Amino acid sequence: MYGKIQKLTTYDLIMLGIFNAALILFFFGTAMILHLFPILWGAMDPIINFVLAPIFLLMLVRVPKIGALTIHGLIIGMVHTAIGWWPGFIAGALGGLLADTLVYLLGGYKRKLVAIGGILTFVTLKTAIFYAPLYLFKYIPWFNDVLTMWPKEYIAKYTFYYALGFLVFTWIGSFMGLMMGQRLLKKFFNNTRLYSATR
Amino acid sequence: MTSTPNYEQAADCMTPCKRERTNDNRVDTLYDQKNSKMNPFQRLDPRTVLLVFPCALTCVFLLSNAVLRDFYFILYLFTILACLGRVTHSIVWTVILAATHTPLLVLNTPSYELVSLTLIIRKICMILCTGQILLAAVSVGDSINVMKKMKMHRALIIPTAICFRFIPTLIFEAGIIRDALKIRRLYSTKAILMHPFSTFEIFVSTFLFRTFVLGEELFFSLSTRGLNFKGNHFYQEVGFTYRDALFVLFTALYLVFVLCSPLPEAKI
Repeated sequence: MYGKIQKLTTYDLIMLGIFNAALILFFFGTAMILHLFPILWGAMDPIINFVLAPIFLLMLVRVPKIGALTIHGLIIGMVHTAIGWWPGFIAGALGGLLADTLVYLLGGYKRKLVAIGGILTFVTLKTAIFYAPLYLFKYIPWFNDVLTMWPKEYIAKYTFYYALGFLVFTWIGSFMGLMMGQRLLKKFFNNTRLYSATR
Repeated sequence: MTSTPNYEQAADCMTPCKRERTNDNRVDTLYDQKNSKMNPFQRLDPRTVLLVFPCALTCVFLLSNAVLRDFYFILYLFTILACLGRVTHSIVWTVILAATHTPLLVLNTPSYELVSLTLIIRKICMILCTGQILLAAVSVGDSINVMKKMKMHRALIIPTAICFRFIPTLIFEAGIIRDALKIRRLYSTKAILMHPFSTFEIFVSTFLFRTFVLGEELFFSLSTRGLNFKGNHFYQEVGFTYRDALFVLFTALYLVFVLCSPLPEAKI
């Protein structure tokens, strides 16, 4: 039942590079647009994951090999590190590694449900580890000056259940994005060179 | 037997090429000529740039708790952008920062939402300026060279290099697709508001088709230029010099000044 670990060819690596460029572009584009609407700041991660999910799915349809999500996790981790958020590297690397391990145990990316499960696992783990320092900011003295500016009832809201609810909504957003990705594949990419590779 | 290397092809090639030593040292002369025309920040080792800026940004994020300290760091980033020839970016951000921080000077008791908004805008400015500096200061060939020196695996080097090289190309392609959809009246503010999912579907599917075609063209192009070559020879050697030490020292001292010096009381 274990998947096969196939070597990533030059073609696979180039495709991964191009799709990762598209993912980074959509990630920053969506984040910049959402930053203009403060009311949507809380829903930023679910919306971003909804937008990125179809591209994830297509990337794994094109490169259905173990290691694709790890490479993506490392690249997006390097981007987060380059802009100053070091937990992003740990989040991307761990999320990708664990998602690839799970997919390997379940049979590989060529199975559609396994691919969807792998993406959902990656997204959830990455979000959980990415925002971990923020859940703990009440306990870190560095943030004391920032915290004095905020009303106390807002700070009290950052509890474990808030974090859990945030992860659940991120998971739901990503799942809806994957359903849209499935629809895109069937409607636009069916019987093209891009999708026929899996037949 | 030694053959004369073709320097034009080697300079244009994105992939590593074998460097041959000739008796007349034409390789070294060409290297010196090219180096002397480069921007001073591009003469630094790429590892210096890739490590110093994220570290500086993280320190400021974690330790800066005053608006003036943020502005001093932003001034540093704007200066470096100006040295790299990206003055327009600095001017746009200066206008945005002035517009968002003026209410803080005018109002006697600004609300915490306004203060938070200005904090976020300052942080976004720092993030985007740092990203611009990294993209402008480190070329793809140098980054491949550095990653090979750091003994990173080929499976990480190729996607990373292609990813950062093709982000500007994909931005350009996205603009073309958006304009084409606008002509066909499939992409407008009304369409986005009335049919957001359909508009998103059309845009993303077209964009992904174009991404896939770009990827295939790139694969054929790089295959013919020897991307499968697994050697470690490079046309230009990179390494740490006194310039890297000076730059790191200057940045560290400036950060100490930004984060630790006593600043005058500011109204904002």
